[in-house]
Order: sequence, then structure tokens, then C-alpha cells
Amino acid sequence: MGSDADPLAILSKLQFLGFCADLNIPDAESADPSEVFDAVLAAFLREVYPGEREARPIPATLGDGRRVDLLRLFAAVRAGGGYASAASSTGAWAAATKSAGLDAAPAAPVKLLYAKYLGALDRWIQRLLEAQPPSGRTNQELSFDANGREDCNGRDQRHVVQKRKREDMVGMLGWVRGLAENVQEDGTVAAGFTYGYFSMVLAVREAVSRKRARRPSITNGTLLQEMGCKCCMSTNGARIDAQCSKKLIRHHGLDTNELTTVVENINGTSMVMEQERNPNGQKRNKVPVGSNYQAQVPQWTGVLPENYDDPETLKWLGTEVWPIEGENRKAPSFCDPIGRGRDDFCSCNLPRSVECVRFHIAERRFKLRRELGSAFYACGFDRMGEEVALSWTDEEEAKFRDVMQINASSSGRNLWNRLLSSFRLKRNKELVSYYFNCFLLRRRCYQNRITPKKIDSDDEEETEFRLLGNRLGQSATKYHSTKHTVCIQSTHCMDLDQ
Amino acid sequence: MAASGEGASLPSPAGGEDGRRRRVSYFYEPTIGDYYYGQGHPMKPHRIRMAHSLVVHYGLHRLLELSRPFPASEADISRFHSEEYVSFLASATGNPNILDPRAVKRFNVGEDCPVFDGLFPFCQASAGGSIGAAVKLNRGDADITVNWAGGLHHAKKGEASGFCYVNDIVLAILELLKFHRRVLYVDIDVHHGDGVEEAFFTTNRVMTVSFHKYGDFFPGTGHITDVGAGEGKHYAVNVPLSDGIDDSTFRDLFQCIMKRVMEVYQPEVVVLQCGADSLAGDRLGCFNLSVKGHADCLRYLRSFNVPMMVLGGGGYTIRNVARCWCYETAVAVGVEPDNKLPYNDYYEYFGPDYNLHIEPRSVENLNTTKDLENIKNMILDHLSTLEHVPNTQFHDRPSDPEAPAEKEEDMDKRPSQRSRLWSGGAYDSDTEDPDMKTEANDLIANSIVKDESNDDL
Repeated sequence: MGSDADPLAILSKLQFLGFCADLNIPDAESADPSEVFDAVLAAFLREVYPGEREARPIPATLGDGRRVDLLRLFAAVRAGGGYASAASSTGAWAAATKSAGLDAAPAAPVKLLYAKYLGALDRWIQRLLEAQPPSGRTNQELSFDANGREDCNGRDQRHVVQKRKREDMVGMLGWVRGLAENVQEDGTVAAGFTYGYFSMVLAVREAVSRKRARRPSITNGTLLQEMGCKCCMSTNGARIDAQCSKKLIRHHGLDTNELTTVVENINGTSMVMEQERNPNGQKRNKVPVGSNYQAQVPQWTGVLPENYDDPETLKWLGTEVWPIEGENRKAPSFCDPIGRGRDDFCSCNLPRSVECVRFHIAERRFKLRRELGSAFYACGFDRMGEEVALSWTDEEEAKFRDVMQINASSSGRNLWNRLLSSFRLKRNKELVSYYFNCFLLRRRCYQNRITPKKIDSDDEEETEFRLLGNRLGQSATKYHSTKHTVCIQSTHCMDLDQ
Repeated sequence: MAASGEGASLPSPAGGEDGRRRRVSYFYEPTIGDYYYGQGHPMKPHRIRMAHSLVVHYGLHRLLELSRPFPASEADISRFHSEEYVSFLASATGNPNILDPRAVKRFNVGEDCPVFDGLFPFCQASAGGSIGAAVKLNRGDADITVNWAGGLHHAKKGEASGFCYVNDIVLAILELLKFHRRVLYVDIDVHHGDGVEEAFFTTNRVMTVSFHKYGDFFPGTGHITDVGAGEGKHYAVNVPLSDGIDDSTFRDLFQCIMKRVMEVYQPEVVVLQCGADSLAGDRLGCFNLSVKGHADCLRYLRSFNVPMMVLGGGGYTIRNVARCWCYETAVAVGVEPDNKLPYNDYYEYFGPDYNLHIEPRSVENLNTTKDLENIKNMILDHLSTLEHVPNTQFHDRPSDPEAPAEKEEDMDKRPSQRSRLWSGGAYDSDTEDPDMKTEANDLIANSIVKDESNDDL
């Protein structure tokens, strides 16, 4: 538990979890650890309890005005197994109080203070520990990255390539290389600026040259291991994992070697990574052959299965949703012909305005429901589009937007944890549904009208976002269940200045 | 609706005409859009719901038979996947907080393939739709079946890969093999269809053809000289391409190769994986195809009048994925929809132009005429080895057992393809190594580079 007495180790854990992403502590090594810890804690609390800035003044004091050294208290309690363990043992608080330098203080207020200031931190650190048991961490864990899967059916010769795009970095390296070779070519320089390589180079340089300020107590190897392990072991991997790559760069202490390699590559001596990752130097991936890889394909006998009408087979036909059995397949007269697009001419007051578009969508949905009947619901159309918002109150929508805004500014990846803790009555699925059906749609609505050159339906990390008419107006009818409700005409209030 | 892409001169086994309406069956799971891989993850099942909304708002459902898939069980999925892996998948979602770290590593779940809430039901729906699509074709209930939630071509027998967990394609093909002697699998995702190729690498009852970006790119397999092994030798075709390939170049290559494949292999059924990450402006892809160019592949294969299964796959600029799969549904039923999108539930996603079609970008096509000519010749050459296989193999009625051993000998007498490796040229001259790139980016790029897959204007 030694790392729980080191504010920088705590910070790195928090950053791994997505908190305090932008916190940078200058001269951390020379500063008083308790002060560093207070600064880290303050930043953490701001993110955990947004809007409760005044509730936890730092430095913390007991009722009698005595200052409490939060770092020592935290370290003492963590050493005893954390808040959960200490809470169940009567002597633990007395001991922790004593080792925190508060000899004569009664245990109860200290416990209260701990819960208030350090409870959240304790829980997160505990969760991290549980996600990744400290024992048995060997270099093998790392092979997730290095040479992959020696215990998983021998695919180790194949390099593990991640699927997401990594183009720009290489483009940048190419630009630097080109620049080094032809110092005086203005064209090359200009091209680099166009693609934004210059700022990238600066960021890389910063990452390479930054001091190893943050982790005096942890060696590179173990930390890399720690990060690597968490990549694949984190309990809620979906939320944390994607950060690892991002986090590694912040823990510059550990990646100096790798970055050196990158820099060497700039000078033309590439393939260092290849050697590291692929010790046998094999460049092309071979397709492995064996019963662990191929499907079992029976020889063709020419004899077709006989019982292909049995229930086991027929189940695969699924539930037929459309056309509805026994109904006339002929389209009703109010339907548009198949393949018909929209008519851009309409008699709305402000054609193509948000209001106009909403009206036409509602109109179409109405027609569609008439045509499809029960298939409208079987196809899930009652859970599509902005109508999903009908089961949300104005307050909930405002809260959702606030959480998104906080998340956008912190650049962490805790969005869904935060949403879940902000909306205790909503399930994850409802939040996801609202996010895609309403929130992103409204953000796009804004982008289409205000910043049409800069649109994105996919990037969730966008820091700047605004919404047009994002709140349903007072006159909009609210339902608690959207099940058999169709919005014929929403009278949403428009607020272009929002 | 016959279009310029249709030019297959092969007499259709079914004896139909190109203009004939096809009976099209379409599988859609209405809850699919609410599965979520996690914050920042590019794979978004929501795109399938967006495509579905467009399909119905264009009125295409009137030409479709629409079904909700039956979820595939653990036992069904185990027809391809290893039991340990399947039981891991089935249990992992139930308890996302108690993941065995060894299993996480062994089954390659983690960064690209997170264990998310509802993972297993998602896999069940995807696989159930594709198996259902196969059963419909087997029964002769449909000429074309569609499952946009399928096409997850990277999943391996015992592990997840590249956002894919359960290989619905392999499961569907196994079902097709009950009734069809030869199944052709075609893959136009920008990534190599490695999971399917690997699964059928040693059989000649399935021929896999993948068109993909090769070199510095996931998953790193799919070299032109990977042609299969054992009985399956020469029954895997890989068409490795470089960045920026455009509609006309792709169309020429695709039609030239597929025409030959159809001639020499004479499949009884075709499975087409329509990964939409080969479209221009994809968040992860690097090709420059328009929606029309992409759909021309489907149009061309459809014109052979062979029963066909059409599946989804990759595609990470979701508005374009929805556009593409909606248009391809229209091509399947033979309708040319208006370019102006109808008002629909996700209308604003398609702004500011609100059109169905997208313009290619002004990026350089790094596939030179010479490279493409080399690729084409090498593959046609390789296909010609199949032509020398005794014709009886292909023209037999299904009731005649085939003699693969003979054929194998026959092929082995031919000069080894490897001696004619087109191994030089474009690939080896690449200065960037895929590993290095990956590593460098793990370390740096994500924290600095802002994704700019913005404007498809």
C-alpha cells in the first residue's frame, strides 16, 4: 500500500481512471507531499462533486479547528485496508487517527471527515485494486502488447495490431524526416502546418523531454506493467481501457524508451518496434492451420438434410414482422411511392428551420404508423428519434447536458459512470438510447445550421458542443411511457441563442 | 433496376433475368441500436438502426420481408467457436465486474473488443440474423437475404478480434453448406476478412475473396500470396490495395476478378460482406468509394442470379454507413431511390446536405495502374489454376461426391504461385512498419490527434 502515501502515485491512478486529466503539478518532487496531495484531492473532488465547490474546504479541519493532514490520514487508513475494512473494525480508526498525528482526537469525527473528503477517492482506488490484484504480476501480463498470446493457442507470431486508425502520427513523422533531409524547402514546411503536424511535433517533443517528475517511487517496468495489465484487466474495460494509450503518454517516465524509438525512427532507423514485438523478425502474418483455427467442414455427400422443417430449423426464420400476415400488401393511398425522397418545398413559415424539420418528421412518422400498424412497434420505431425524449423531464434533459458539458471539458472517459451516478433511476440502455436518439441528433442539428463545415456524427470527444432548441418547451406534452405514443406535432420552443 | 454495373454475361443457373424482382428477406433486431461498445469506441451498433430507419422511410419495406432474428444459443455459436470461448462470452456480460484476467487475455478482449453491457445478446442477435438468412436461402424462401447486424468477419474460433466476437458469417456459411456444395464469400470491407478466411482456409467448399487495404493496416493478413492450404489451396483470394482507391478503379478490378471467380468456381450461393468502412471519409478506413461505387459490387454480384446473402461489417462514419446500407437494400430489391433523403427519425445526422449519396474526396489514389495490373494478372493467373480442375467437379449434380484429392494433386503439379510472388513492389517498399505504427500511436497519437473525419460534403 506504499503508493497510497505518495500523492503522485495516487494522481497517476486517478488519471488512469480518467480523473484529473489536465492536472499538472510543477516541481512536484520538491514540494511538500501533503500540499501536493491536497491539490490533487481538490481537483479530484471538483470532478466527482461538480457544483459542490464549497462543501469541502481544503485544508480540512476538525470541529475544534485542528488541521488534519489528509495525506497521512489517507495513507494510514489505506494501510489498514481502506475505508471498508476500517469501518468494520473498532480499533482501526483509533489507530489511523493516531498515525495521522491527531493523538487526542476522538475517532468518530475523524471517520466522518474521512468519509466526506476521502471516501470517493478510497472507493476508486479500491476498485482499481480489485480490478487488478497486486500479486502474480509478471512480465507475462505485458505480453498483451509485446508478443501477445503465447498461452492462447499459439497465435503469437501474428503481431497484435489494433484496428483504430493511426495515420496522422506517421504522417507527422514522415514530415519531420522530410524536413530533416531538405532543410530549406519551404513547401515541406508549409505542408506540415497545413496538416497540423507542427503542433503534433511540439506535443511529442514535450512528452519526450518532460522530466520524470511524477513517479519517483515506481520503476518504469512495473508501471508499464501496471498500465498494460489494466488495459486488459480493468473491470469495466469498456469505460477505461481505451484510455490506456492516452495515459501512457502522460506517464512519460515509463515511455522514454519507446519515444526514443520513435525519435530514432525519425532519423531513419526504423523497425525497432518490430524487433521488440516480433522477435523472430517475421514480417508477414501467416494464417495458422489446425483444429483450433478452422471450422469443421463436412465433406459434401450430396445428401440433403431431411428434417429441415423441424422446429429447431424453423426457429431461425425468426418472427416475421412485415408484411403483416393476412393483410393486404398493397400500399395505402396516402403512402409515398417506394424510393421517393423528400420534397424540399413546403409551406412552413421558416422552411428548413428546426421547427419545420421537426414538423415534417412527425408527419412522416404519423403516416408510417398508419401504414405499418403493429409493425411500427415491432420494428422499434416507437423508440427512435427525438421521441425518446418524451419520457424525460426537462430537468433530466438539462442534467444530461450538464454532465456532458463537464465531461467534455475534463477529457476523461468517465462519461457513463458519471451519467449512471447522476441518473440513478435510469438504466444504462435508456441513457445510451437518449444519447444517440436525442443528444447527438440535437448536436448535429446545431452543427448543420451553425457550423456546417465542421460536422461529426461520431466523435464523442468533441469539446465544443451546443444544442439548438435542445429543450422541449413547456407546451410539449410529457408521457412517462412512450409505448403507444406518437408525437404528431411537437411544439418545441426554439431558442437560437441557446 | 438494371444499372451500368450489371454486365455479367454468365448464364444464370437459376435462369432468371437481371431485371427480375428478387424475393428479399431482411433481418432486423429492434434493440440492436442500444448496444454500446463504450465511450469513444468507433463501432456503433446505432448505425444499423439509422440504416433501418432510412430503409423504411424510403418505403423499401414494401418490397421486403422483414423479420426479427431468433437469438443464437451458446450451442449454436459453438458450431464454430470453441466452447471455452463461447462460455466466456456468455458469462462475461452477466458479470462485467468479475472478469478473469487470464480469460481476458486469452480471448483477446480489451481495447478493441471491450466486454460491454449486453455483449452476449448483441452477438446472439447478430449471429441469429445471419443463420436465419442462411436458413431462408436453404429453404428457397428468398433470393437475397440481408442482415446488416452481421458481417463481423474478424472473430476467430477461439478469440475476439477487431470489434468482432462471434463470427456470424462462418456460422451462416456452415448452415449454407448443408444444402450447397460450394459457397463463395466476398468481402469488400476495407479490412481483410481474416476470420472467415482462416475458418475456411483448408476447404474447397468455401472460396473466400477479400478486397482490402494491405500494408500498415489491421489485421495485417491478406497478402496476395495467401491462397489457402491443403484442400483449400487456391480457394482463398486476397486482393491487397493501397489508400485512396476510387469507384472506377475498384469497379474495374472487382468486376474483372469476380467475373472470373464466378466462372471458375460456379458457386451455388454467394455471401457478400458489405463493410462500409471502404467508403470515402470513413473514420478508420482509407479508401475513397462513393455509396454508388460500393453498392456496385452488390449490383454486379446480384446480376449473376445466384442466391445471395448480404451482410454488414465495418463502417465507422455512421451517417455514411446508414446511407450505404440503405442504398444497398434498395439495390437488392431493385429500386433506385431519390437522392434527397426522406424526412426520417435521424434526419439531422445527414445534414447539412441531407442527401443519400456522398461525393468521393479529393485524395490521391495510391493504387497505380501498374500495381493494379500486376494484382489483376496475378490473381487471374492464380484463378486459372482452378480452371484446369476437371470440369466434372463443378458440373456434377450435388448427389455426386467430389474427389478433392485428385484435384489437389492436379493443382500441385502446377508451378508454385510463390515463385511468382509479387512480393516486391508496393508492399515491401513501405517504410512504415505496421507494428511501429501501432505502438507509436498507442503511445502518442491518440492523445494528440483529433479525429477529423468530418465533412462528406
